[in-house]
Amino acid sequence: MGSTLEYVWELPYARVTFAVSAASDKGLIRRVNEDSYLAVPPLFIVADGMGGHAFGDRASQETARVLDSLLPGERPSTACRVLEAVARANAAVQAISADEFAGTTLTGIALVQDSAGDSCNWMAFNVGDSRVYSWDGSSLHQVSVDHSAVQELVDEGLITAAEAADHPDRNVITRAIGIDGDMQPDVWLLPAEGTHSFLICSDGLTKELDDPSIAVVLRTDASGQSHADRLVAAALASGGADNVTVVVVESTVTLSKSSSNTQSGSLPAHLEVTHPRS
Amino acid sequence: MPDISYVPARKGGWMLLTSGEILLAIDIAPDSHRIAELWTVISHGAGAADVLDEVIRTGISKAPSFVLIGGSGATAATVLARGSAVVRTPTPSGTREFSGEGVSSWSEQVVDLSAGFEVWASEIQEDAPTLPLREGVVWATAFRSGDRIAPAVGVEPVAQAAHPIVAPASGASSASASADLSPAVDPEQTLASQTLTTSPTVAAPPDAPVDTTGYDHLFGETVHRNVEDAAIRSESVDLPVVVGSPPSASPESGDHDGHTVMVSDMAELRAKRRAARSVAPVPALPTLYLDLSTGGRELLDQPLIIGRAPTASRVPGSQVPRLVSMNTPNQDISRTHAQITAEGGTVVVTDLHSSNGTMITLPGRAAQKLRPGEPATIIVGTVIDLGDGATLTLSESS
Repeated sequence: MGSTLEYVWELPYARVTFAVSAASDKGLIRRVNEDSYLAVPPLFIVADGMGGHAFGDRASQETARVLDSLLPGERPSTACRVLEAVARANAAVQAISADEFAGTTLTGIALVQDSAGDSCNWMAFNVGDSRVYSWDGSSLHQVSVDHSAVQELVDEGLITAAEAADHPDRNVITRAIGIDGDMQPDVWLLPAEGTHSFLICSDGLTKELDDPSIAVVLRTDASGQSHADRLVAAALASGGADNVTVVVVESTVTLSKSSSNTQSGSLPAHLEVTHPRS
Repeated sequence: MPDISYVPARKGGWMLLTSGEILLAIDIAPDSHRIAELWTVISHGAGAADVLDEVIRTGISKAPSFVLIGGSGATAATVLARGSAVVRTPTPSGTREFSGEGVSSWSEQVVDLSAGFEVWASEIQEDAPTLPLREGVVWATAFRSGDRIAPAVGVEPVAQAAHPIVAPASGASSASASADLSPAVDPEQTLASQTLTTSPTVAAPPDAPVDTTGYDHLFGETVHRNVEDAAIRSESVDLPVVVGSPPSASPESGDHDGHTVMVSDMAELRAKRRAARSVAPVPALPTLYLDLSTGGRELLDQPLIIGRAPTASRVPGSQVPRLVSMNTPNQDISRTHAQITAEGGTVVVTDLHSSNGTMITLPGRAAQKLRPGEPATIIVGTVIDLGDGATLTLSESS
């Protein structure tokens, strides 16, 4: 069990702070924890391994290892670099699965900058059914979209999100690391300026706790016990049927005055609404 | 790769990085963080293709001059040269000499390096000292393996010597004209979900792998299932697949399945993977870019999403856009306003359901308003008007 770790970066164009907590537990039923995570700026991921014997945990561990080794610390990465690291993790897990089926989900966020290196974005990426949520202090918003059989049924309008939670195919995913060499993650980008909070988790959390229950925990004061620890404890208290892994990140990017080109006003630009021209 | 000797340069200019297997000389700024990144890739034993990917990461037109030697077998190595550096190798019929000059990407040659080679990044004095190097990173103006090689006499024109230009597999040819920004399901996946809903019975595996020492299979272990496996059940005697099982299914025939299905598909998937690696030659294209009314220029080397504070939602990893923010006096353009992509020589602009719309003015034509979400092809000289004084003009390099 860890506490919340703080990081501060002074970039040429911005000051960036991170408050990070992470926790993982094999749950009350499983014998092995097949989840892995990374939670050091600029990269935060959760990987939920699957496979026979010990191959599931090897798949998720290998994925975390490859991503960790290919990304820089102490400064933003680039979207290109993250994607290359994901592709390499895919190849590394394929090498494992030459002997026995092994695969893993991979979801996460990375702070990335463009080639000009004068601004940064949050990049969310996903393969499988682990999830990235954003948290605005009051409600939870799911950023990633699962690659799962039930998500496809939901997209088709054939079942509701509530029905998906109990559907017999709820554990069938349609995309994973280590299965197909042509695998592509889905990607989201959003400007990093201002304060953003993210929750990254394996399905062991979301299958035990609904969004309002997660929100209740995120609203609590994290000074005693970190949000990640509290969420894992809550998932175990609700049954803990699966491995459960949680990474919680709160980050603030403050552009330096010299490079800031935003208009005056207290709201970050992306929170303002556009008014129709008369 | 044999040991080499090099002529040191002062800080700046060309940097030579070698792992003993890959040799990269690159024109790079002394304070560039790229040096550490390139060295990370090379020192981790990456292949020549991976090193090339790293070198041209920022796009071909922005890539620095370089010479990359790798893939060296017993007799032949692949040498890529971009820019003015000259590569010389001795052959029985005299010195062979080439460079990447006059080629918009790079010149690629398969060369026998066993008799030595020489690379000149810039002219140096005849008596400049040379130092040995097996592995590491140094500033260099020239380097060689073996003896000095006399310059070629009557060199054939570089353009003729150049190998057909090869683009990386993830290059422009694979980019779609309009990146899919809305959640979408590809046809294969749609097929799978239909299969899942229209199969009310349980195809119980005759000998499903049951974990006899634990209970994982009872409690919703995540499994991966390929869509084809779900569809082609008649062939899967030894490939247990449970499709559309009702909620009352017994735990033994429940979620735990599909593992063996994936294993049997490995050969096919690997073949597909190998096929995907082959690269197709593409013709050189003019460099397209947009001039912004707020100042600056954006190269169209990847999809651009323009707006006040743009975001990108669920795009495939192969088509990750660049976010370009434009600040206008009244904050009157939408956060995510328009997308502009180039595929081949064709440029397409799409209004992303902005509040106030997007106008385009093709050269010599009246301005027209784009329909939200509908891609429109534009030509060089077209002005894209997002309103509030924010315009972008499509240009190409001369």
